[in-house]
Amino acid sequence: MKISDCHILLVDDEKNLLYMVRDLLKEEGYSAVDTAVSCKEAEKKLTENQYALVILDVMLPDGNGFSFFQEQIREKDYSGIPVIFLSARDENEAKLKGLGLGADDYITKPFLPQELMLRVKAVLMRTYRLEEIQQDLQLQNVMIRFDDSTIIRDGKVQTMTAKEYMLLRKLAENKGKIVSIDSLCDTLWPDGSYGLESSLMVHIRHIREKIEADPSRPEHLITMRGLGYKLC
Amino acid sequence: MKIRNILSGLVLLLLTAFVLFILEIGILYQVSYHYNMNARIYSHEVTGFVTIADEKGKTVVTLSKEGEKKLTECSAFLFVLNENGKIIYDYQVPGELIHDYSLTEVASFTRWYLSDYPVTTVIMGENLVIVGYPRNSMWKYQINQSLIYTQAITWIYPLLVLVNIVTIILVSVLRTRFLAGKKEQERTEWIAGVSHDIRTPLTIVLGNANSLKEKLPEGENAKKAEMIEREALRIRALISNLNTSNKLAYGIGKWERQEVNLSALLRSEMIEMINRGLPEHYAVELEIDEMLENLIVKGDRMLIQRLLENLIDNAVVHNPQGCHIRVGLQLRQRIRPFTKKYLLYVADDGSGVSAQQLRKLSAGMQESKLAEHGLGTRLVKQIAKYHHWRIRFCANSPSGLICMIDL
Repeated sequence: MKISDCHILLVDDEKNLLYMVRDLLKEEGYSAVDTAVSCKEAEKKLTENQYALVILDVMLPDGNGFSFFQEQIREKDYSGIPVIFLSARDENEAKLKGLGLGADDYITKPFLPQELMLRVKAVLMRTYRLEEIQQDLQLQNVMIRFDDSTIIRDGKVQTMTAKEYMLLRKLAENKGKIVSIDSLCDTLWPDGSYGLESSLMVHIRHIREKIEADPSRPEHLITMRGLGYKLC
Repeated sequence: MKIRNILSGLVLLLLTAFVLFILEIGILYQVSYHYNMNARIYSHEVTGFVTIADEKGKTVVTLSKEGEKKLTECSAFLFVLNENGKIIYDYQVPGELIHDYSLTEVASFTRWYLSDYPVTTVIMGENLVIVGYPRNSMWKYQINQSLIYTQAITWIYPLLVLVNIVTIILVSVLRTRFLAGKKEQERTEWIAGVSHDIRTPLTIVLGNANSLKEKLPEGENAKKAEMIEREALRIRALISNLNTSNKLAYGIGKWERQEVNLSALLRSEMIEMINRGLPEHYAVELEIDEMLENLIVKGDRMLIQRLLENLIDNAVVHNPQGCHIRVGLQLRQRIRPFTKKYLLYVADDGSGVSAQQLRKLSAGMQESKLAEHGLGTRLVKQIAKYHHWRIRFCANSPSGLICMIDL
């Protein structure tokens, strides 16, 4: 299953918000997005279609989103469908209540479209174990190819080690943005990365030797002092 | 509610009780003087009005004019009995009372009434002077009491009075606290309700502005869309600050005391801020003592995030011309045993604030006021207070503002 094929049900009583989010999801590439303005309509839609994700508002005109989630989704045949709560309630309380009930994520209104899209994608990938195909990355005269773990600089082909692949993948996913030292360490050593910052620096040095013309004056893998690294 | 408010309430209550007590004593004295003192004749007056002399073996009783006047004013009567119970003098005595009196009759009326007439008696030599008043004009009661009980009463009564005073004060304080708590609850619910109602329309504004910004070609309209998005984000931060500040002020938030890796949190916050798109004329730098990498503090992660966000946002908002923002974590030399060990600071080299504003920033918070210098700063102070951290705002050298928090 491709991530864009996931059928999404969006439930909110505020029509303007409903259509806005629906359009945003469609623009993001999700081709099948259904909407419902009440619990009753959502219940009907759930029987008619097979959804991959439900985005559910907490306050609905004919019921509470939390109760709907418990009674109509978790206790029925739809218990496998991941749910993201949309909440206009206070962050902490929504988080505690929603996640406490077993929801997959929550997002507090008002949110930026990108914030919602990131969460939708993360939940879908986590639930259906989808691997995003990482496109090859071209940085001026450097080509980073993830399908065969190679780096091509000025026609010279070099292979990446497993750790270098993991690091470059994480940095490529966030191209142009800073990725913190802590986050990079967690990527390399998910079981615990305490005190491994110096090992991280060794891997960074090795990557620079492969992608930079002058590793002592990096142009693609930039150090953001005290914060992390940025691939650009 | 603050202890100061409770104490001032107590003082006011005690003062009011004291003033009322003095006033009531005055009124009682006046009433007693008017209705009681003028309506009866005391023993010392009787001995002044009546003279009993022995003239040639015969007892002669005389009543002064003044005595007669006083008896008439009080509608009272008077008679004198000798040692054998015979009347040897009478003045205005009802006819039914004129007869000899036995020992038992004398014993009875000295304690109770004489044919329903309230009477008082005064012993003069071998004789007994009886002063009587109209029926139903005086209450007379004989009290006999155990001495031990009387002694006990002398210390039980003050104790009971004390218990009463304490109870009255306690009930008043509890009631005031209950009402204040209810008011605080209503205020919090109101703020939560209003912010709830703002959140949904704000999502539509924010989403559409963001969408327009991405779609419009570069130009005036794209800039306007960006401005709408920026201002909507400010309103979002404001709502969040308002809710958190209110919950902290009234102690009703659900906060956690968890272990937080402060250096990692500082890093991720600053990265997030840069990645969100900090304009180029702002530079940020993180300075963490090497020894404090992986410093763990106990606190609420979300609150600490809000503290940092607000301090950095303040530096950005108050320096539109741009500035260099430094966020750091330092190990401090302990001067005194209780000096805090770590220093967290957020400094900028911007335009800074005036001496007057600096004084206001450093002043304590007043819970009742919404904001003395912006909700963000107020929330920063509240979060520091919640974690028992000391917070100071100083002028940075050579320019700008520095906020120092002792952890």
